[in-house]
Amino acid sequence: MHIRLRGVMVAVAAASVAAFCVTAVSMSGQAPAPAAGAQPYRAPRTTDGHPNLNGIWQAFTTADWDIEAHSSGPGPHPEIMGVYGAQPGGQSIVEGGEIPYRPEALAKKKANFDNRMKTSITNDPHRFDTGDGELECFRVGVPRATYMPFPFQIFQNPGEINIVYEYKGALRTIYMDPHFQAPVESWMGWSNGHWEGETLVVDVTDFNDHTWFDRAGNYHSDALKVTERYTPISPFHLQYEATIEDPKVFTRPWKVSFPLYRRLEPNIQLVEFNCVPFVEELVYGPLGLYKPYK
Amino acid sequence: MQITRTFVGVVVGVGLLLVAVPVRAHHAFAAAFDDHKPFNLQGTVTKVELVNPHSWLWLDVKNADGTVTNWGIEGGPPTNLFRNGFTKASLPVGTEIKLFGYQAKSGENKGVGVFVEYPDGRKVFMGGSAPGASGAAAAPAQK
Amino acid sequence: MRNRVLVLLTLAMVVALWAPVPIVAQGPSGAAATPNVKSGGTATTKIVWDPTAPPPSNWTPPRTPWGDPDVSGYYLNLTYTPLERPAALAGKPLYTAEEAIAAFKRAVALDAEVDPTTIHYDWKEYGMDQWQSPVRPNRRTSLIVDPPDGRIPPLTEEAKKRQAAAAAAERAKGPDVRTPGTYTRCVTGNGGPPRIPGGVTAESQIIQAPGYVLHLIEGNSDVRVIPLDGRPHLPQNVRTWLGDARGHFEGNTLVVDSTNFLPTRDFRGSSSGFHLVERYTMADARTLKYEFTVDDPTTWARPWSVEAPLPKIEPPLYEFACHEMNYGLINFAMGSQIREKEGIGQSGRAPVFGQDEER
Repeated sequence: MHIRLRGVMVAVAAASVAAFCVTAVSMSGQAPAPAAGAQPYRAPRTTDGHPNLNGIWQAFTTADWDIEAHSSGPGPHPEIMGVYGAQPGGQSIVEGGEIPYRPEALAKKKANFDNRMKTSITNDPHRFDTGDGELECFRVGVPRATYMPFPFQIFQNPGEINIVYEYKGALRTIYMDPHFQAPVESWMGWSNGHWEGETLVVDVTDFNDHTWFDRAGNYHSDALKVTERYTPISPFHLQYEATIEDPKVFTRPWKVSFPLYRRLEPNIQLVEFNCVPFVEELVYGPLGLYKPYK
Repeated sequence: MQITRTFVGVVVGVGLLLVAVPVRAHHAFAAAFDDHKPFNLQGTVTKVELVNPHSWLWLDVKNADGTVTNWGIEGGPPTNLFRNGFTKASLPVGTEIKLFGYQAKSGENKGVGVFVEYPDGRKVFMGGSAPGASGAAAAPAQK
Repeated sequence: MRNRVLVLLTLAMVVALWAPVPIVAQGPSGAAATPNVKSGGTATTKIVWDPTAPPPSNWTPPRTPWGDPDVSGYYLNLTYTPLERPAALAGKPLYTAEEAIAAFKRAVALDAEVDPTTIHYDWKEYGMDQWQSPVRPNRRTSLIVDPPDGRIPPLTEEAKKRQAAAAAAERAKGPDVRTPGTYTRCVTGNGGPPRIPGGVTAESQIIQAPGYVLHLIEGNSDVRVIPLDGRPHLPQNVRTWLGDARGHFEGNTLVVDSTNFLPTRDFRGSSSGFHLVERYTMADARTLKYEFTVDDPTTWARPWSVEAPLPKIEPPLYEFACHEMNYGLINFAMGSQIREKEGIGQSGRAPVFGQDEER
């Protein structure tokens, strides 16, 4: 059932406060602990009897800068950007705090960070050798799309769940019934999902190896598999977890988790963020292929 | 476009019920590649990029002097190939293929592949025998 | 002069195509079951779109589980019917069914031709000749149904001046990555809505969820979110490539009103006054009737409207990550700059979408 915000918000908020207690969510990735004796939250149902995840959601972390704990800092090109480009400090969204890199893989992460602003665009596969794709308006993959500083919208029907991310208008289709197989790798991976009680579980596979987890150079190989879990914990929150498996880069699977907040403003909508025209000068200028209008 | 103009003349002469076929101009390709530099290449596939907006095949071509040059060949978007069962496993690295096409205007070892075939003439992608000609379907020319 | 090389079996193919059963291409045998394998149904003359026919008597338009008219599904945006009525067919808005089939067969034969002097990959090798998808004959002689002459209305004087100035500015700038259209730059998949049938990368999907419709086209994976709750459009100063859409149902028809387009979106030379109303109606179990009206007083003397039948096709669609892998734009811009230096003219003029297909 679609929650109509106007006129109903107050009633829903009052009912939910009466119905349950949710403690503050910790930033180290643990699910919130309900107060003793409280029932786990049961979300309203869609017409096919599953928890209703429809709506516009957004993460409020600084993970896009760095998914591990990080200080604030000047960011790239402070001599031009000042505070506009400064990096906020933030806590880790990684359970346990640190990413379990293989020792040789950690060196590549550090090299990535040093090269993150490189835009050595080419007309061949080497264009992905260095640099963070977000800078060039490339798709950022999963789970990074979830914690980009933009809202996204979930559209749920029995056969498919579609997620549209405001960033690039990137769309993911989560095949619920039937499942399909990927013919080839892609930027946002290929998603097949199923329900486990109150939780939507999504298996995401067939990623290419061009995306990073953040602007700090944390990365993966083409062996990446991601298992997402979306669990409503209140009318206004989903708990999001993503388990990362990539034996080429990490010594074991690891997990990120954080809450997603429902955007509540009346008439809230995604506002197009098509960044391709914003980066044409950056990307093609060094090749002499971007000319100013006279 | 010249093809349509000439053909229009023929069809009007025949039937008078002319359909103007959507003209598939291709300014981007006409600018990027050189109609004075056609090529016939044969080589070994080193990389297959089934990507949009255009797929790219990379192949090592032995030159007459024994050196090897890696060529990048632009093709069509792969979406309809996927809809017909083609996957990333369908054209393995190491496969020998031959191409007819046109080289990049820039002079780089890149080109657009007009026809992409195995050495025995079967199409690598689609287009094999005309559909329905023998009652058999037009299969992509791989096992 | 150019030699045209006809596909040797074209005539045999044309004859064979008119067997009662559409021919389906097969995928590799032994492959794991994927939906891709069974897709690829080809052109058929068994179904002729007839706008004068009554709706089928033994079919009820479906509803979603929450009670909205159901227009969801996967659809093919292809047709051999031209957007504008050809001069030779002036005064003839409708073929008979037999004429429609004959015109369709001629279009298929033309389309299947391969000219190796064309600097382009053979469309057929990538499944991109339209007859390789389930296109059908259409009794209409043009997609444009209004004005009655089936042609785009004349440009306003303002539009002519604006387009001349834009062309002059483009020439003064010289060729670069912004010279071709938004399609080649991977800014939009086909210049943005409306999606005029024809061309390439023609698959699309309509997705419905309570209170919303999504319209996704495979090209550039462009997606439009269409709220159905009657909320107002964004303020006029907020502009987008794909427009700001608002939808509602009238009977069994989804009506979508789109405004707030960027003046630079360049739909056939349009500008800031662009306003689009689209209508989606299930015509039968296999066909979505897609209609739209474009009005832009800054560009055309009057509004114009299109009607097109879109056949249902099999899922799924695939991610179209365009800008990420746009090697070709670099090749285009380099080639264009070399041609300009050589003084042999720009082949890469800014294309007009719908007339010029970049792919």
